[in-house]
Parts: sequence; structure tokens; C-alpha cells
Amino acid sequence: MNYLPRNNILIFYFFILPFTAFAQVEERRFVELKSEPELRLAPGEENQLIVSFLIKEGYHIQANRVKDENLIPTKLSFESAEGFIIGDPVYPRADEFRMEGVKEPLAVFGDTLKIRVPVKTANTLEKQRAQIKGKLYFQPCDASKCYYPREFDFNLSIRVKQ
Amino acid sequence: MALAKFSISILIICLTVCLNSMDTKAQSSQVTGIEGEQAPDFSLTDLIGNQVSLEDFRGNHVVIHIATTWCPFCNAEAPHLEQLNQDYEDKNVKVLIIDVKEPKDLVKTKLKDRFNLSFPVLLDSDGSVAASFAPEGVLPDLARDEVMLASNILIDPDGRIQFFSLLDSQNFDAKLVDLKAKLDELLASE
Repeated sequence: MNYLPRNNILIFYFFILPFTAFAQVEERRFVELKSEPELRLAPGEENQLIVSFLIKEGYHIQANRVKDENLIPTKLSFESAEGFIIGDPVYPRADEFRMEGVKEPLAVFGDTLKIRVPVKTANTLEKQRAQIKGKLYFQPCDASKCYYPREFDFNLSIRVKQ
Repeated sequence: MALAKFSISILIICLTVCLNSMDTKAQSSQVTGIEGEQAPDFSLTDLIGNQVSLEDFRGNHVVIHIATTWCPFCNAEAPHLEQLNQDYEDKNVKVLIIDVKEPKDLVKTKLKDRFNLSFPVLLDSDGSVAASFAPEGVLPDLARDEVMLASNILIDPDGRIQFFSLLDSQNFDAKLVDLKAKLDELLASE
């Protein structure tokens, strides 16, 4: 009994099956940007940018300040760019994650992580659209397992208006 | 007739895609065959430079915890591993931690000294030993050594795996209740 026409078998083996195999080995992602961070500033102006990350459901990452010195804190950093001064990130208040066998709850970030970043432009800047590379360094866990620390790279877009 | 053939083809394709998708999520059901398998042998250095191999412990029950210093689950288990070591040391049980991809000084300070561990802590500097324990096909989207972080393994005197914590990875067991239950069961049957 031959239910599958020959053409369908060929399609299955040469197009569908490789796709499913590829899907299996795709690296697990824990964090993504909620939206592309973008800011409009005049020369010499200062403002705050909010960078919003989505932490995937079921996971959390260690907070920027950890109660246990063994743990790896989350850190947001930016590459330096001429004419732009990027201040120290301001992290939100951490959530608490309670773990069996540990008295003190862990300080973690979950769901949406909004980090405020002060940005100032030099007076001499001309009208332009600048891209500054940013990096979130974090160590993710779920309810029963932890994963290697990772870096999430993204671009910060700043439009300098006249 | 052509429509029926087409529908069956689509059904088979959908089932295959669904099963593959489930494979990345479900871990418990994939590793049920591990128990009773021969544990992979290894040879690693401890924190004072001694070469330690699994073969050295043939004839003992061996509890292995795969750890890193930054892993909160591993830190939570460390005092309970030390307690287990003390409680079972006269029962032919040896406890080991295999630390993955971290430098010796860090491991000594943040793991061995911090938790006052009296049993050997071994350095798996490239993660290959941890990876050798990772069951094939489980969590394929992670590095093989990463799959094993915070896992517990119990190996019997014949070198066979008798307990593997990934079998129940949804329930964190800091106090090693399940592992000790299996250990007690094995000791009672001797």
C-alpha cells in the first residue's frame, strides 16, 4: 500500500526533514529586545534612554547587584562613541527568587527588564544618525537549572537633530 | 483519492515537526535509559594537582555533582553534599564535585574553602568530562557540558549509573533527598 506519492516523499526528505533537524539545534535564547532602543537629541542635550529587554518566560537572570558574591551580576555596557557621553545604567529594583535550601532569596530580573541610560551629546555634534553598540552580560537560570553566562548584543540608535 | 493522499502526507509532516519540537522541550522522558549504563571513565586533576580517575573509585558508590561557582543551585547543594560525605563516608560512599571550565584558584576560594568541603573537587577545564555524561538528544539547543550543570550522578561499585538528576530536572532537590533514597536502597540491597 503506497499512500505517499513519490513527489511528496522527495519533498519531505529534501525540504521538510532538514528544516526540522535545523530547528532542533537552534541555540536557546533567554533574552531579546522589546523594541529597538532609539533616542532623538539636539547637540549638547541630555536625556534618558530606556532599554527594554524581554526575559523569556520561565527564566530569570541575576540582578545587577547580587547578594551572594559567587553569582554573576547582570551588566549593561556600551562602546564609546565620539561626541556621545553614556552614563551609568540605572537598573530597576530586583525581584526575589526563593530557592529550596537557601535562606536568603536571590535578587533576579524576570519578565521585562527596563534599564535607564543617561545619554548626552557634545555641543559640536552635527545632524546625524549614530549607532552605538550595546551589550547585556547576564547569567540565566530557570526554576531548576542554571546556564552559562551570555552576552546579548544590540544597537542603540541616536538621532542628532539640529 | 488525491485529496486523501495529500491530507495523509500533510498529517505525517505535521506529526514529525511536532515530535521534533517536543524533543527540544521535554527532557525527562528522553533519559530514562541512563540508569544501569556504564559511566564514562575520566581522569581529572584535583585542587592540589593529583590526578583522579573514576577507575580509582571502583568498588565504591560514587556521588558526583557537576558544578560551577556561579551556579546558585550548586552553591545551595554544596553544604548538603558535604553532609552526605560525612554521613556516608563509612558506608563505602565517595563524593566528588566536578567543576566545569573555571580556574583552580577561583574554585578553591569560592567552592572548596567557602563550603569547607572535605571531599575532592576536580577541575574539568574544557568541560569534556561533563559533556561525556550528557545524554544524547537531551536539550540539543545547549552545549553538552552546559546540559550537565547542577546535575547529580550516582555510580555504583561496578561503575554503572544508578541515579541521574536530569531524570527529574523540574524539581530542585537541594537536600539530595531523592539521591540519598536511591543510595540507601542500593546500600540496603548489598
